[in-house]
Amino acid sequence: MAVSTTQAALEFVGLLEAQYWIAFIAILVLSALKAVTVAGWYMHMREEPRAITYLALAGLLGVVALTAGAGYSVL
Amino acid sequence: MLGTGITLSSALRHAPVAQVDQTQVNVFDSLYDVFVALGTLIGVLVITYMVYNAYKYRSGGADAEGRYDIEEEDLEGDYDVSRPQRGEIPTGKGKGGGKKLFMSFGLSAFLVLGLIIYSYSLLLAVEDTSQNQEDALEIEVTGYQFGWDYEYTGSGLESGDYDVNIDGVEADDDALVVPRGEVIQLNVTSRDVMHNYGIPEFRAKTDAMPGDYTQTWFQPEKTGVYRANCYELCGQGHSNMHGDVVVLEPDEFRQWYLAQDGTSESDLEFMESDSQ
Amino acid sequence: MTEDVHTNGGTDSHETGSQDDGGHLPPKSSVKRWLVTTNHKDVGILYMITSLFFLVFGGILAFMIRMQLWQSGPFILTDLGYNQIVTAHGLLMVFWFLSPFAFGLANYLVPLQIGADDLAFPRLNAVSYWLYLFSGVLLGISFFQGSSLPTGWTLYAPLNLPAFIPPVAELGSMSGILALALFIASVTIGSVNFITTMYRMRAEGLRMRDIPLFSISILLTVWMMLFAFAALLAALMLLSFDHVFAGEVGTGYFGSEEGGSLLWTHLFWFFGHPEVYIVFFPALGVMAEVVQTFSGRRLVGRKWFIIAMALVAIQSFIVWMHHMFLTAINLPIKTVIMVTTIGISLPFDLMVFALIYTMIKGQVRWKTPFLFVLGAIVLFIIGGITGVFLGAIVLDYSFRGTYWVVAHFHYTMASGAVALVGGIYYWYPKITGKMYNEFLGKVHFVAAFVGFNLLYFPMFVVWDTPRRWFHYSGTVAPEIPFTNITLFETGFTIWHQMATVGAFLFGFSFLIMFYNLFVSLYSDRVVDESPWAYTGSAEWAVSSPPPEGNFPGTPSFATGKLSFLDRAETDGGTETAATDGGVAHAAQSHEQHADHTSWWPLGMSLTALILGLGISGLEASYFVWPFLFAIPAFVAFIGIFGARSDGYTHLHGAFVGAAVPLLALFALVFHLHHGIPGGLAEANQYFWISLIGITSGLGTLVAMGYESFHVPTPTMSEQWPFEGVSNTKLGMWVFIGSDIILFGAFIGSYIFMRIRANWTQWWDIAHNNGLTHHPVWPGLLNTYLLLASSFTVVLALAYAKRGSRRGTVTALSVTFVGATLFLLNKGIEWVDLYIHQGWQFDSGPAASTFYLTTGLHAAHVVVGMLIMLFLVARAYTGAYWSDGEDAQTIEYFGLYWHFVDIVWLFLFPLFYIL
Repeated sequence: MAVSTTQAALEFVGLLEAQYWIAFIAILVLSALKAVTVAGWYMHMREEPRAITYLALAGLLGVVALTAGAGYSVL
Repeated sequence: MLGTGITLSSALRHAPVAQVDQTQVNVFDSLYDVFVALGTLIGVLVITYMVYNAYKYRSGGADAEGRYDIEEEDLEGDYDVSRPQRGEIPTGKGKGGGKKLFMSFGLSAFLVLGLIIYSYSLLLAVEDTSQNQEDALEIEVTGYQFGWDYEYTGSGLESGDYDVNIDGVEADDDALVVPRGEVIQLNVTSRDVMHNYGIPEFRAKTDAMPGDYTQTWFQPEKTGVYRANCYELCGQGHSNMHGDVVVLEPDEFRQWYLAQDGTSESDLEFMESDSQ
Repeated sequence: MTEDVHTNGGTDSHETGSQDDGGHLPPKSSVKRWLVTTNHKDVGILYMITSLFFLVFGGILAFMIRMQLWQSGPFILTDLGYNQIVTAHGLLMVFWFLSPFAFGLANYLVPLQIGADDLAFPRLNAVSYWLYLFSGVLLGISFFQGSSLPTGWTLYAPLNLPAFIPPVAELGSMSGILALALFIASVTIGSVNFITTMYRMRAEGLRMRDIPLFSISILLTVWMMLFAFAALLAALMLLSFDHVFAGEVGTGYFGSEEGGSLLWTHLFWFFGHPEVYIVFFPALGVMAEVVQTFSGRRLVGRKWFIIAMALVAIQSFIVWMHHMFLTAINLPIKTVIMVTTIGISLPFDLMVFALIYTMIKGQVRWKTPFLFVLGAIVLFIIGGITGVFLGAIVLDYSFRGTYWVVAHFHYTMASGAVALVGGIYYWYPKITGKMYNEFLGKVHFVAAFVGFNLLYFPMFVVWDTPRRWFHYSGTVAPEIPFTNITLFETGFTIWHQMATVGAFLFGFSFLIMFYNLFVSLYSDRVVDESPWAYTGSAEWAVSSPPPEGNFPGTPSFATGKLSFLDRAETDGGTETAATDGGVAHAAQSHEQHADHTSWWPLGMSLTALILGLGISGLEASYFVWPFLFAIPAFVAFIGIFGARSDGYTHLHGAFVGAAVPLLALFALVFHLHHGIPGGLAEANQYFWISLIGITSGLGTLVAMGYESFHVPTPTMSEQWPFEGVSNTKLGMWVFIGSDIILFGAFIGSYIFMRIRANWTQWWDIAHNNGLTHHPVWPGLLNTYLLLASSFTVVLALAYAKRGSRRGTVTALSVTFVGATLFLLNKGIEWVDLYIHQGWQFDSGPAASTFYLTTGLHAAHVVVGMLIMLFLVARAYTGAYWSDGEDAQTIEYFGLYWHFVDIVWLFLFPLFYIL
């Protein structure tokens, strides 16, 4: 929760206006951090066989391929 | 990955194979012939080889009792191969073939790669002409259900503002009129659904997408009336969506073009520089 | 009811009657059996017969196309009629025939090949089948709603939007889209089922790499299905949104000027290219099996064959833009895609060579299955070589939208179909216990092969014909390559007429097959375990047809060869049980018995059909109401069914009681919005159909949840790499895998449109479109709420494990309250944005993406809440925390809930902060 607050705080501090892409990366890294925490501990991914993690990563990789490919194609 | 694309496209752009003086028709025809020749050769070879072997090693043993196929024989003496056995774990024991497999694989990979790299150099030639053409007649093509509108970029002359009353030419008034021998640069878009603008004789084709512009070009070598077809299903009139493309001698074209409202000599500078 | 034998998959009843040890299953001669069965072999037969029905359906449409093309210009069809038929033919053949045909075989054979008694979730398997059937029925219905989809099977945008679809076709188009969505539901459930089964239920000693090639091909297919179809589902949901809420040109997703048309091609082909392999891979598996058996040789380079297939499966997700070379994508990405495309064509070379080399030094018998597979390889080689033509971008520029493409993909697709037909002949004796007629089989092959080539080869000659045109006369006449000689003065006509003749020959050859397969059922050609020599895989080691329970004992490969162990010794433990989404009453039944029948898969799928039909005509202003009104009904159902199943408690009473004020509340809101008497009177019939569909649908879900359906989990099986993960948990994870793609495609669409529209000016554009103020704090508050509710689910699991009923119920209830607050907060925010600021669904791309992406998330939250209500009721009466069931069900729910939480963690910054 503190992390989310930080994310929102980053906007209020005005970092988004000043240094958009630095703030952009910082905010997304914080999101990823939270997501890993939830997946790792709440969803017990740490205790499961590694294959479960690979399964989720495979899905994620597919999405990244789609987004990166589609996004890059119109740059 | 993306890096590869950029490097490849810039490296090969300057390769000697790329010949910019070819029209799309030449490029297509030569490449198509190579592909047809090689494709037929390989196809016939591989299929013959397969059917020949399937025939050579045929087996016609008698039906076994309660069976509709031959009796299983233990042929270990005959060939050095392993036969499937019911209930086995299929891995392992299978001997041989790996080397041969990779030889044929390597050979076909070599062929396909060669063909693709060759065709890629031609692609760059085509794309280069499309993007870096200064002495070209630029025309904006807008697809709609169900026809094509043209605008001559230089003067803003548009379909509807002109007619095509030229002696000896039978074409609709919404035709595209272009001079022979010049590079015609098309910027294609659509005002409703997705179409695809293609003139088969000139091997020029590109998608017409609402909100986007795509480019293609052609260089007509003979005068006459040709057809621009729609190659993407665009609604009920798709099957009948085509327009005329009129190719005139340069002088005739100049005459026709200057007879239209709002055009001027300066629009036709590209033709001057060509003849010098 | 014996007269129904032939309609029901044609298995002789007295042949198998004595082997009916499944307990509850009615005999095969009974119609009821086929409606309630969950047995994988029965479901497989249902799949095959239904898919053959759709083959005939799609085939008749193909005849109509070929008739129309007999001459250039108008003939038997109207413009709209032709477009509809072209579309439906493509959709039916690809979705409703080819894949399900393969999955009929897969359903029947995969458990047999890997040594499992059934699939991991038999009841869900039946759901898959019925959803598949009814999705096809919905597509059929669309023809009777005025007109079916007239957009081509690729449904290119924006032709697929109401603004460009003729009014007469609007209802049918929506039905077509929903039919596809239902089909995807079926496919996703099926994929989860197969993946779980194949990883967790293999016979002892059978490693993943050891499973037979057909099963391997199915495994790779379901992986691709899981991910690819989720992307299509996303595309269809966006499209449905456009249809219902953003009908105007230039609004919504695919009508948007911000690359809407291009976005559709990206999403569609990201699905569409893997789909090509989804359709073809099972056929590849059949080819490998048949070539092995009929050559009497193990596949040469088996390991490399498998590696090549796996490579293709992975690469299939990064080549999709080669379908888009002429669109507005840039040159560097074209180059990348060209490289990956070459990369994906090479493994196929290796596979074809492996098949050919297997025949060398073989004992090759030219039986019908082998002939079909040989023919399929020939077609595949031709399709493959002509595909290399398309890989050369310069050639592709000219081939785009012509009959070259049509001929090429029919060669590859039909190669798949022909190989699968070979598979049908190959396994027919296994499935029926009778041998087909060999002579007729060979006649079928010759007719089909000649007919097919006569049909499609001329298309290469007249490839300049524009695709989906029937006015082809004015186009240039074909020339012989290398020369300028023109073929035939008649131009294209004669070649198209040849193709039409070929089409009839090809089509009628299948009548020979139907006759052969039908008559052979009653022949006296009885077969034993294996009618073929040199068979290897486990299905040939059991009787034909296999017994109800598949194997005479527990199959094991521990000794390096298949053997059957005594069941009494191996199935000792009763503690593990998969619940298949329902409730297992393992403690009540002391002896191990498996359930094999359920009415609910049929019932639930039927309600899905009704709902789909209803939504097709639901107006935007009425859209949400059937779903809202169904919620009180759902609450009441839990109370009623719960009381019946678990015994009445006060909580059940409370549920039924709570339904009344809830309904009153929704009715009040409805009254404020439409006025009850007037609103209901004005609602069209589709409103009522939807209401019936969703209400009864939720009812069947609750009933299914309460149904006692026990599936024993094998205690001795290979489970690498998922040891220690129960079947249901793995199923849940696999489902989450596909959900990642669904959400990812939504987010990807947002990112794509935002990049197109200029990333940093996104909100400025939104402000121009009516947004005045978009505060961060509702999103932040909702992040807190969701994180907290995730934590309480963790608590619920901890309490359940400790056996505390009070703790479990309380923690779940708190989660429920948290979710309610989340929705309340979101509701207030939406009302402010939508009504007060006037920033509506179709107010530009920022609005569409915001509402739809967070809306999809909210829908996930609502589904989670409905599940929670069910869990609370069950927990209150003693499930989960007592010894009746273990606490794992809470954990499965937790996985879903935490995933929804994680998605929000990304939506919050993307849609609120950045």
